[in-house]
Amino acid sequence: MDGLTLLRSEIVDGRTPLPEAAALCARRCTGASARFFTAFCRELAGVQDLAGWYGQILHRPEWDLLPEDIVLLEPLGAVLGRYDGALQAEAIQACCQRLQQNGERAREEQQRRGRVQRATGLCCGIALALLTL
Amino acid sequence: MTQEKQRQGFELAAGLLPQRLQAAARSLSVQEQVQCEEFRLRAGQPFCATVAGRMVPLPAGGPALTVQGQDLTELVAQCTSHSVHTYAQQIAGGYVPLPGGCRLGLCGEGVLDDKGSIRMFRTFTAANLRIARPIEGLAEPLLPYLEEEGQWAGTLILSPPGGGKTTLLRDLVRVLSQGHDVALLDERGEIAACRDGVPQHDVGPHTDIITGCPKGPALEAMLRAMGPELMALDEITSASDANAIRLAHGCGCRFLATAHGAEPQDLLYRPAYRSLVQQRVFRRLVVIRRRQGRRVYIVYRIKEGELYEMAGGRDDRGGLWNDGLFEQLYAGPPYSGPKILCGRADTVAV
Repeated sequence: MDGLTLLRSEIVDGRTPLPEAAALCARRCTGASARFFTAFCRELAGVQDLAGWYGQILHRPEWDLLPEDIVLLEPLGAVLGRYDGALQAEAIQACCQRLQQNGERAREEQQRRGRVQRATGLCCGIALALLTL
Repeated sequence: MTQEKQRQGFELAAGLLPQRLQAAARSLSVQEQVQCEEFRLRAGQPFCATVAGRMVPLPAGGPALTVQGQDLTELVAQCTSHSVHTYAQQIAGGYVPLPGGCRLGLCGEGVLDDKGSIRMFRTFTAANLRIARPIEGLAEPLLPYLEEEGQWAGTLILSPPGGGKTTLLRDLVRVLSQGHDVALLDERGEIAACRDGVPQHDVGPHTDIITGCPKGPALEAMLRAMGPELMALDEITSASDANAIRLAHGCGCRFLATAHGAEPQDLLYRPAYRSLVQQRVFRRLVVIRRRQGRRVYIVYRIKEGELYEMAGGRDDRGGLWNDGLFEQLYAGPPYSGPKILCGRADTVAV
């Protein structure tokens, strides 16, 4: 998401061409984001159909993207580099917000599961203690 | 321009076309590729090239491919490196500057802003991928006539549209830049053809370029920031542009500019130019004429004298407008080189 935020800034504020903006994101990001943007700017030069190519590249396993995140990122392919900066920024911003909501839901789910696991563990412990008495 | 350079320009332009049109473009013979001036794409119409002034459907010798809307979208994507936002201002102006000085002209379904100006195109209906044909060597023979007392005499280049004014302006800037600091006001990006800040045409080593800005503010900015000796600009259109030029001239700056017109006296019908001529901002006039399909450059000295008021096209005394205002200094002999191919950016008669 940091990479998307940086991409949005470069497009809106710097009107940076997409290949350069992606190269900047590759340098500034870390982990899977950096790998994604590195591949993006390396392969973009020969691409005629950006939306189609972008949809394919998203599904590569090396980005560690969840299926629900890919669903949110896919529509950007039809927008990136194709419209004026303001429209692209809106689309990226909306995508970032939904990704953030996804992330919050996932954290809440994790916390809920944690509570359930702790409760289950406690019950199992009590049951074991009772059995061994 | 060498044949090899012309072929390189062709290859550069052909490589920007959508994949399905590239093979058709390269179906032209080697000689036709050298003479190719532009590719024309119109949605729903045959894909064509302009070769030596004639329209050639592509692929050559076969049934022409029909251009689809998607082809235009892909062409714009390639020409902007998938970055329409970077070139939004130029696209709204109907063009995209390309590497090597090539240029993409665009039109389509316009979307207007609140002020009624084109903000963007919703769809593209046609494109003109023009191959760069810069000409060098035009300026040198004219230079001795464009100086006065060892200094550059403000010069105006005059011709009808498509006559070669910008080509000559560019070459004069290139030559003048060898020995002077030149400020180039390239509002529409046609003179230096800057792409990502780098001029795609040679405009000399000491030329500072400002693009995409109206002439008045650009002129003031360059005067304050870059301290030029000479300023070069294309067509002066408004009274405010003329005022800005007058102010800069008062600061010691000298000018090179262009104007639409066929004859010297055409300037006198246009208030912006008339006042600048009257105030001696311009002391030389280079008129570009066509003779037997070839361009001839004729240099006039603009003499000091009175400009008569408009009176039905004649002055108070019943004489002609210019009445000796323009003294012809130089008229080149007819050009003896290869014939000019068409009305754009071709060679010269000096």
